[in-house]
Amino acid sequence: MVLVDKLIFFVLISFVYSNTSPEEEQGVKYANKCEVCKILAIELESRLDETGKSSDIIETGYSVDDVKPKKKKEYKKSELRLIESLDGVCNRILEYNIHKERDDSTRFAKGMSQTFQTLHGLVDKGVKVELGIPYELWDSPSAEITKLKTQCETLLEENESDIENWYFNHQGKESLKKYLCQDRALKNDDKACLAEQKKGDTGKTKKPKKKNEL
Amino acid sequence: MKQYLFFILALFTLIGFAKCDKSGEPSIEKVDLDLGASRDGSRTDDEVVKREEEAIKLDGLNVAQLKELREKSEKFQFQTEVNRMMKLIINSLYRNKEIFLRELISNASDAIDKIRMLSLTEKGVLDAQPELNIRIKADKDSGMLHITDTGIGMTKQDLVNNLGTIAKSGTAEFLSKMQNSETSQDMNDMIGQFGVGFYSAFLVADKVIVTSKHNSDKQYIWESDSASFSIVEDPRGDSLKRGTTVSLELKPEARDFLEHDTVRNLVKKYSQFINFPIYLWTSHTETTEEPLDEDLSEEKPTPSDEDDAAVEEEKEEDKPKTKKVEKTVWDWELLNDSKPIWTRKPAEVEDKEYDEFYKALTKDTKEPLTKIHFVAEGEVTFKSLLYVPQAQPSESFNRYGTKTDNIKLYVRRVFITDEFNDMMPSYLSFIRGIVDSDDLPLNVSRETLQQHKLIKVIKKKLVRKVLDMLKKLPEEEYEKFWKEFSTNIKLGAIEDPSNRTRLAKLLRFFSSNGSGTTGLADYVNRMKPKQDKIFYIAGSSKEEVSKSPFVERLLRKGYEVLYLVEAVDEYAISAIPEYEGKKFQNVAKEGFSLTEAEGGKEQLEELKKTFEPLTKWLGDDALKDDVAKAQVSERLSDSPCALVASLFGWTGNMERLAVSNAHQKADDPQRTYYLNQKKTLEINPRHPLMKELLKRVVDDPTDPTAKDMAKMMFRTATLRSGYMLRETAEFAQSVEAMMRKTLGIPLDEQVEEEEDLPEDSMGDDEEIDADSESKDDEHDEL
Repeated sequence: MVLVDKLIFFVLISFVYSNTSPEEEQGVKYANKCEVCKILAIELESRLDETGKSSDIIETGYSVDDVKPKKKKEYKKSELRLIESLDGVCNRILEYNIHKERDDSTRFAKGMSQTFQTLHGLVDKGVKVELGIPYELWDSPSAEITKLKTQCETLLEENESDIENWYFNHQGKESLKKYLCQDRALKNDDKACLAEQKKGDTGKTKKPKKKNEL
Repeated sequence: MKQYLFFILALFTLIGFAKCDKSGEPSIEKVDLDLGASRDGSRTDDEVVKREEEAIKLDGLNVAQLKELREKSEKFQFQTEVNRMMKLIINSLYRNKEIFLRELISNASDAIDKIRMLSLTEKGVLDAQPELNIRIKADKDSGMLHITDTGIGMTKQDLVNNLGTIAKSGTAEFLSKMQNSETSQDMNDMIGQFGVGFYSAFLVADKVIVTSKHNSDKQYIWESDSASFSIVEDPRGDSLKRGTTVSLELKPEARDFLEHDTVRNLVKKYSQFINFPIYLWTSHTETTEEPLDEDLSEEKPTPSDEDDAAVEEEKEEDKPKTKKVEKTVWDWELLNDSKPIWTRKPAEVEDKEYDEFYKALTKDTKEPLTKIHFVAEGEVTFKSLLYVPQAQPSESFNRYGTKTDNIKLYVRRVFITDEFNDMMPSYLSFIRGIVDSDDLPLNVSRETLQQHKLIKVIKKKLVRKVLDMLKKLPEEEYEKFWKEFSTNIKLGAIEDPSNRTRLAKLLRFFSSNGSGTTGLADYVNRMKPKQDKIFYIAGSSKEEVSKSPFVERLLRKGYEVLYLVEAVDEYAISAIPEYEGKKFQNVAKEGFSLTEAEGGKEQLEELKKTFEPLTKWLGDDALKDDVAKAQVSERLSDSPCALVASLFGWTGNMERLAVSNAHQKADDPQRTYYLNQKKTLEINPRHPLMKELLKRVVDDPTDPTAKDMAKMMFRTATLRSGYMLRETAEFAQSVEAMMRKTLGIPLDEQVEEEEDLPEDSMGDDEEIDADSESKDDEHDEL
C-alpha cells in the first residue's frame, strides 16, 4: 500500500522524549502506541476490504436428514470473516520497512526505504558497502519492525472486544482509526501520529547510520 | 451345487428350530430389534433347541457341515508380525483377560461408526440393516460367546487384510513399543490404540470365528485357532444382512465370561460410553396371568406401562379364568446408556461420570487433572467436553507439531473423525475431548470438513475456553499442571500471538524470591516502588544463575530476579514484549540502570571518571580484539568484571542454545553474525583487582603483567557470564603459569621427557594404559 502524497502542510509536532531509552541511544526508535494503532487500523481495514468482496453465504444448522441447512449467514457480516481477517493481520507488518529518512509515523512504510534503495544501488554498481551486518541480513526485518509486529499483536489481543464491537456495529459508519485508536485505545495517550501523512520526497537521503538494526 | 445343498440343509435346520420354538418352552422377545436378530435368536436359543450330543459350533451348522466347510475353506498363514504380536499380547495380558470384551465392543462400535459415516454421503447403505446396535449372546451349552454388530462389515479381502496382517506403517512402532512396555498396564492401554485389540480374543478363546457381511460382498466365515486361519463363503447365506459376528469358543478356564452378570459388569466397567446400544440376550423369570383355558393361550405382548391398567381391569373381570404361571422370558437387555454424556446438562453429570467417560475416551487409567464442559453459541453452536490429563507422555515433544490433536469431532452426535489437526494449536495438543456441532454439514468427507472454514471459529473458542479453564485452576492443581505442561504454555507464548497476554498470565518461573515458582503478576506485585522492569536471567540451572555475577548487585539491593532455567524460557520471555506495562530486562544484557532508582548518580559519574584510564585502556588496547568496549558496571557487586551482551545481541545462554540446536542450517549467516558479536566488558569499580589494575595502567600502560591479567580477567568473565570460551588452550596455559607461580615452580622448568622404550618390549596392556593417560590429560586441559 502506497500512501498517496498530498501537499498538505502540517504543523509538525515534534516528540520530545524526556528520557531517551537505551534502544534510542543505539539508533533504534520503536513505534509508540499511537503509531502501532494507526498501522493496525490501516492493515485491518485493508484486510477487511479484501475479505469483504466475497458474497458467500455460510450455511449452518444441518440435521441428519435435511438437505438444506436451517441457518444462513452472509459471510460479509460473519464472525468468520472477522476471525479470518484478524488472523495474521499483524504478520503483514513484516512487509514494512523502516524508512530512516523520515522521523514521524510515516517512517514505517511498505517497500524498500530510500536509504536501502540507494545502498543496494551502490552494491549493484560494485561499490563495497560496509554496514556492520552481513549483506544477507540487510533485508531481513529490522528490530523496529519485528517489535512493531509484536506491539500490533498485543494491541490486538488487548482491544479485541472493541474491535469486535466495531466490526459488528460500527463498521462502515466510522473508521477503525477513529473508533479504535482515537476514541479508545489511545484515550489517554498521544494521538498526534494519527493525522500524519507521508510528505513529498525530501530528495535527500541521510547517511545510513552504521548501527546494527537488529 | 454343493453350496446349494448346504443351503437346503441349513434351511431344514431352520425349519426344525422354528418347530421346536412352538413345542418347547414359550419364549417372549420383548424388544423386537429386527427380523434378522430375532431369527438369529431363535436359532441359537439353547432353552429351545434340543441339541445333539456333539456341540454345535456355529449357529445353524452342525459338526459335519462345519467339517465339510473346513475342507472347502481357503487356508491362510498369519503374517509373521501378527504371530509375534499375538504371542506378546497373550503373554503380557494373561492376568487381564477381561479386556478382550472391551476391545471387541470397541471394534464393533468403530464398525458402526464407519457405516453411519458412510450413510451420510451414500444413500442406501443402511437399507439392508437400518438398526445400529451391538448384541452379545452367551451360549452356555456350546461354551460360545457371540458379539454381533450391525456395522460396516468386512469383505473377503477385508477379512484377510484386517485379521491376518497389521498395517505396515504401524507394525514396527507397535512391536517395539510392546516389547519396551514395562507393565501389562502399558500394553493394556496400547492395544486399543493400535487397532490390534481383536487379537486379545485369543486370551480367552481357543478358537475364534468371525462371520461378516459387507454391503459389497457375500457373507464369509473367518476361523482361526491362532496358528493359522481360513476363510470360506457362508453357506447360510447373508444371514447377518450387514455387520459382523465374532464368536469365541471359550477356553474351559474362561467360561465365567458366559455368565450374564460377568458380561453385564464388564460392559458397565469398560464400555458404558459406547454411543450405540449394547444388548445382552438374557433370561429372567416372570409371573404372568394366564387364562385358564389352554386353547386360548397365545403369546401376549409384554405389558408396558400403558397396558398395565388395561391388564388389571381384565384381571378383575376374568379373575376365575386365569392362573399364575412362572415363565422364563428371554429378552435383549440394554446394558448401557448410549446417550452421549456431553449432550447432558453439566449440572446433571456427576464428577465420577466425567472421570469414567475420560477413561473410556482416552484409555488413560488415571483420572483427568481437570475438565471443562460447555456449550458455545454464536455463529457455530457446539458442545464440547475437554480434559487435561494428569501426565504428559514423555515422547510427546518428539512428535510436536506433527501429531494430530486428541479431539474427537462429532456432527450431530455422529462421530466423524479424531484425525483432525486443526482443532487445537500444537501447543495444546495434550488436551483430550470431544466437540459436537449441529452446525457443520454432515454430507461432506472428512477431508473437506477439515478445510471447512467454520472449524476456525470452533478452534478459536476452544483455545479460549482451555486457557480460561487453566487460569481458573486452584493453586494446588495448577502446580501439578505446570509440572507436566509448562513447556507447552511457553511454546504457546511463542507460537500464538493472539493469546500471548493470556498465556503470559499462566507462566511460572523460579525466582530469587523463595524456592518455588512465581507467576508474573506476583512478581509485579512485589516490585520495588521505583522498579520499572521485570528482571530475569537465563542459564542452565538455578544454582548457576543464582551465582551469576549479573544478579549480584540486584539481589543485594533487594530486587527480585526471575531465574529462567529451561531451554525454552529465554525464547518464551523474548516473545512477550511486556507484562502489565512492565518491560522485561535480561540482566545479562545492556539496557538498564539502577542509578535512577537507587540514587548515587554523582558517585557513579565520579567512578566513571576515575576509571576512565582503565576502561579506555581495556577497550582500545589490551582487549581491543575481544570486547566492543569496557565500562564501569552498575550490576556487579562481588565479581571483578563480567561480559555483557548488547541490547540486540545474544546472551551466553542464548549462544549455548543456538550452538547446540541440532535443527539448523549449517553456516547460517545470521547465527554466525550473532555469535561473532563482541560484548561489553563491565568492570566492578569497587573490586580490589580492578583498583590494582587501574593503578598499574595509570603508571605504565605497557605493563605486560597488566596485559596478561586483563586477558585472564576477560576469560574468567567470559566463563562466569555463561559464554563459551574459544581459546581454551591459551586459557589453560595461563592458568598453568599461575599455578607454577603459586607453587613456586620456575616458569621455564621443562616437562620431564618420557623415555621411549624399545618397541618390542612394550606389551599390549601398557599401550592401552598410555593411551588412556593421554586422554585424561586432554580432559584436564579442557
